[in-house]
Amino acid sequence: MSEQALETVQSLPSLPRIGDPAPQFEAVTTHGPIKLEDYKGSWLVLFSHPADFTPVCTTEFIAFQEIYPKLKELNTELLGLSVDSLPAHIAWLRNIEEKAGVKIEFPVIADLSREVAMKYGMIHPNESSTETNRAVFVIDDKQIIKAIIYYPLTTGRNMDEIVRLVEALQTTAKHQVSTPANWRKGDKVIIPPPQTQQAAEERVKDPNLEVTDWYLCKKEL
Amino acid sequence: MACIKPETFLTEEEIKAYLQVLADQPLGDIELSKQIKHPLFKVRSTLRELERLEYITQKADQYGLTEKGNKVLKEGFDAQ
Repeated sequence: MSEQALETVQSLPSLPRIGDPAPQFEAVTTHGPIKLEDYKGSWLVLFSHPADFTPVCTTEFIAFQEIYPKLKELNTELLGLSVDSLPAHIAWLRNIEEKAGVKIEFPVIADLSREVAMKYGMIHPNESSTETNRAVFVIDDKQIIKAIIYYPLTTGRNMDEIVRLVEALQTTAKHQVSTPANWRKGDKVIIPPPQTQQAAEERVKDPNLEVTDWYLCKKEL
Repeated sequence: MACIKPETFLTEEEIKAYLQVLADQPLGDIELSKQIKHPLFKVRSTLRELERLEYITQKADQYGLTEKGNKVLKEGFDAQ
């Protein structure tokens, strides 16, 4: 790590983690000024991208727009962010519509001051000290951070995974269950392991469960 | 920083649409979101701006038109 990068890291505030209240902000966006608290009652996927008019980001924005209707069905909004200016965002979104025929309907934060990016740890100085990386924060309807994903500048995100993640998190929130690897909506879910020997004995005999062993039992929702 | 900044980020059409709905009856943000079919974040941001412009006022979680808001709705923006 270079000395400059080390100094930047040391000056960073502690980053938000899963379970933390999402850091509040008020930001200029392509839909006017927005406060994080405006999203109370909805889930939110807050994501950053490195820069406007760049190739991977353009493919991502088209892909984010494709999943936006599905996310809205899940009471989930999308909010993009980069450290570009508002005119740059407007020009880029108009360009995407002109060249790809896709109208971007969700707002994008123009975080020129990097205030929001710093609060959310979206700048990783060893990768780029000037651009935000590909961060995703899933924030629930009570404004608690439920999941965080980071991708490097080179690698476009998987939109199916973002939808799957929101569905899994909402299923957990609603039913107090967890979801196994590669879970998809409609699949069986994992129930919390028993906390006593007696409960473990009863659990393995439960005919309504798919029992692998006492600590791994699944059920239909 | 732009050379010149408009008074508001809202368009006249957006302002009129919100004022027309609120002229019928004062509403809260959730009811307004359902009526105007805009997402809640957009409604809350717009209500904040309309309040700043003194077109609406909030009383007990409901938003209604001010005298200025009524005048704009009836006589247009040039009447201000």
